[in-house]
Amino acid sequence: MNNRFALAIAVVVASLVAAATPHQAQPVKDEDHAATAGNIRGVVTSRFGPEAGVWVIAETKDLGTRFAKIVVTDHSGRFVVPDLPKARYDVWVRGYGLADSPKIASEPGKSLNLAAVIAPDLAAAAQYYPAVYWFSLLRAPDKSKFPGTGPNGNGIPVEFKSQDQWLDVIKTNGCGNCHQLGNYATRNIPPALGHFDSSIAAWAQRLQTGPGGTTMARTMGRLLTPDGGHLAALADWTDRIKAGELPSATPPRPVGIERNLVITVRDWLDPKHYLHDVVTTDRRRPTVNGHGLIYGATELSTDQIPILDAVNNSKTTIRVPVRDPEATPSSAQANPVFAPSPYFGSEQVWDSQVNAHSLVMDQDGRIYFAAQTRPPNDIPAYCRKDSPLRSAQLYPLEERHEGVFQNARQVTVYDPTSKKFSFIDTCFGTQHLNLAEDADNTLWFSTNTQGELAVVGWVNTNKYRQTGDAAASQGWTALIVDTNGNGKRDEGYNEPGTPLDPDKDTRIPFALYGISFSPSDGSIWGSSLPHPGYVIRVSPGPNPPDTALAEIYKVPMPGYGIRGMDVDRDGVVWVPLDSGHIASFDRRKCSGPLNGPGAERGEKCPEGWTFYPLPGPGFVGDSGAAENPYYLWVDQHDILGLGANTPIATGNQSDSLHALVGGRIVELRVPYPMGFYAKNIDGRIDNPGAGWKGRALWATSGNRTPVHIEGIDAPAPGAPGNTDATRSSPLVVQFQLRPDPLAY
Amino acid sequence: MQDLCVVARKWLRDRIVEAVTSEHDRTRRAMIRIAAGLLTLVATCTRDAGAADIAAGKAAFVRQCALCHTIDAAGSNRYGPNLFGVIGRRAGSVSSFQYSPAFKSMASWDWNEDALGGWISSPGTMVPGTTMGVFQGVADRDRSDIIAYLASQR
Repeated sequence: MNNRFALAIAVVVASLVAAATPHQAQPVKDEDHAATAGNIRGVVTSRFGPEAGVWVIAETKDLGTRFAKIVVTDHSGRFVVPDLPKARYDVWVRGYGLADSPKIASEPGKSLNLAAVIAPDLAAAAQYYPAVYWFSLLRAPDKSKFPGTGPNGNGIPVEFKSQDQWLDVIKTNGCGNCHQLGNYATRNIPPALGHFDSSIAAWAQRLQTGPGGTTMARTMGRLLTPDGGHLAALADWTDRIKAGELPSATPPRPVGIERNLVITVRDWLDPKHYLHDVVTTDRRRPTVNGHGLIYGATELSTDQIPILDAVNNSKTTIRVPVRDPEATPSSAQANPVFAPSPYFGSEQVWDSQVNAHSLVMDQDGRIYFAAQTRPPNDIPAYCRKDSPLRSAQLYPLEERHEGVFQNARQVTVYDPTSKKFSFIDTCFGTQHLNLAEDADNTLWFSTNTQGELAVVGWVNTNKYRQTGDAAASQGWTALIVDTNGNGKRDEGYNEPGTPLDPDKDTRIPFALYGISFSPSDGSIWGSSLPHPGYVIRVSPGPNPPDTALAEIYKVPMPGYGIRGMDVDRDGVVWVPLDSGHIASFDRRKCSGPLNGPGAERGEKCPEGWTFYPLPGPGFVGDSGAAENPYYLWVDQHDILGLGANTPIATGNQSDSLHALVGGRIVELRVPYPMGFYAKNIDGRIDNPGAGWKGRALWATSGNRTPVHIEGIDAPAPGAPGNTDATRSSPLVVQFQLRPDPLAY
Repeated sequence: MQDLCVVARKWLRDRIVEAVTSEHDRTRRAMIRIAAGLLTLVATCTRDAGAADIAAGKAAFVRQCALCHTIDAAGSNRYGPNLFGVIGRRAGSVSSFQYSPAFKSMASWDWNEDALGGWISSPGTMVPGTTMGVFQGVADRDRSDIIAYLASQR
């Protein structure tokens, strides 16, 4: 055992001692693990004795989905995998400091003592570390290289004024938008990619493969320098890893309440098609659709929407229609396969007219998709200035887009009872959506389109359901900031980029990405992506097209790099940041006036922000974790059991969800299969009287390459499967928190 | 000499920006052609400083161009068109490649070494709105080597 590995083991052991509960390790009594019908239980030991804080994984191939249930051992190495469906299981141990133990066949009702395998060296142990530990080995340009002065200066493009702007692109708002960088699939070059003279050439090819080639080339094109920029950095990164470089930090084993977690992993759809979001219930009333079917949104990948029956562990799909199937463009047109994928060759695996990005469920179980229904250039007459709609009169939306336009979506409604679809033809684009707690069941939409199309839209779903009148049910507003400081919205306003008249209000061109209704005051909040990131508040007022006022707040240092967001029931906004933080913005903390001159720049109220560091190592010279959390969801109703209003960020580099409890992160880790990466979270109460068993959080894997997830019977820890049958499909992960590690 | 080239190039790029923002279409096009031509000439200021190195050009191509272009004879179009035999080719003439509207509307030259020199130094300045505008351009130190490598692939 080398010194470095011994040190790592010592750190793990020390952390376990520090986290130990008052109960000391004791011999396991028979009554502690009396087998019950649906459980597999036992003790995990290694040559060092009981292994605490390691995972026991029970996996079966007998059910209608991929199925694995995962628990953590307690301080004495004991475990209970509860409530397993009747099937044959392989059971094994995975943990930090270990190599996977041999798989042991078992079945519910059995007791099973498992022998953990101490990893022979640090290299073997590190194969199980989350991606962030490997990603942190990447060498980003030093802070001294910024601002960029161009190819004949310091090489960095002039668009990059600071290092954090660069990091934002190599993390969430660039590469990390779609991929978990650092997992097995990404930190190795797959042999099937081909043979190349250099690793830079291999990466240049890799970034053109599959239907994501256009997006990858466009993103990496910004990051090229005379020395190869980020392309060369990736090549250097994988070269060093291939040569044996290992993470400099060791992940901690689960401690405390983290050991109470029960993870159930299922899958849906197929390895070629990715998802963006999942919905299980009405966020406002999370008992809606208890035990019911779960639905996904597949964005650019396919028109086939996956449906999961988690009660019976079965999956299916349903094809979402478009209103105009002849003329509606497909994602395939904008995402051609330039170079063959090492997994799927030249097959055009993305082909979607629907482009369903996100979805919500209403109080009756209807599902609303932000989805394309028609060609982007087929704009209804009621969107024009001569429309009877007040929103159109004030801010017509007439810009026509030919071909594919990413956010030119409208709304598709699915009624699971009648199994019928209907279309709401919105003038505004749709992206994320959130139902208000109001009498109209108003559905609010972000557009994620900066500039002239930066509006916030809404649909009165009650009116639409009663009348079927899409035009009369919708509205939208430009985002107008009260820069003249008179406390109200006025007719006529400054346009972005024009000299500001201090006597007028000002329109801002920042679009919302995430969007959330604030239950505290009825305002609408959203995140906006331009670096370093902003949050925007929209106060609708009594007649929103005329009265809605916006406020904008820029993320101050040390934070930057925003994507999704949510609001808690007190009106506090929570955001995930790729600076390696969760941050809150509490408007109640603002001390100065929030309107008036300069309010359009977002620099008011820096005192409203608080930052909480995320776990994991950072790049050399960077104090923040090399984590890029994509979305954040607030557990407003205490569904999981960590407390009402618990903010939970997706741990996209960490195979986890990061829950912020008492100012510290509780890591909700998915250790198997490695590569879990979520773009949102939902929570549902199936049975309010059933305690922890009657409630769960749900997330689907949202990376655009589900095939990068650890395969079934993977050829190496974390590795993709080698065949169609063993490659991973998108995951659906259920998170439950029991009162102690052995509860059943 | 080097400083003069830098100053001249900056002046010409400023004229191009001025031209493309003009509301007078004919004037704009004429100015673009003149400025682009001058830019390509000035872009060659440093080329005589030393003999172009094809091997160095190949390495620079991999670092900065291969992300979007193939260059072998049988290579496919990617985010950018295949570049085999680009020298002497009419700009925008690869029939199977879908050029950006900006490039199609402005590209009216043949790809000689001077034109390529201007283009790869600052594509987004030469043709605002081009798909290649995401790339900042190559450094002066690499330009002649890359062009020599491109010229060798025919």
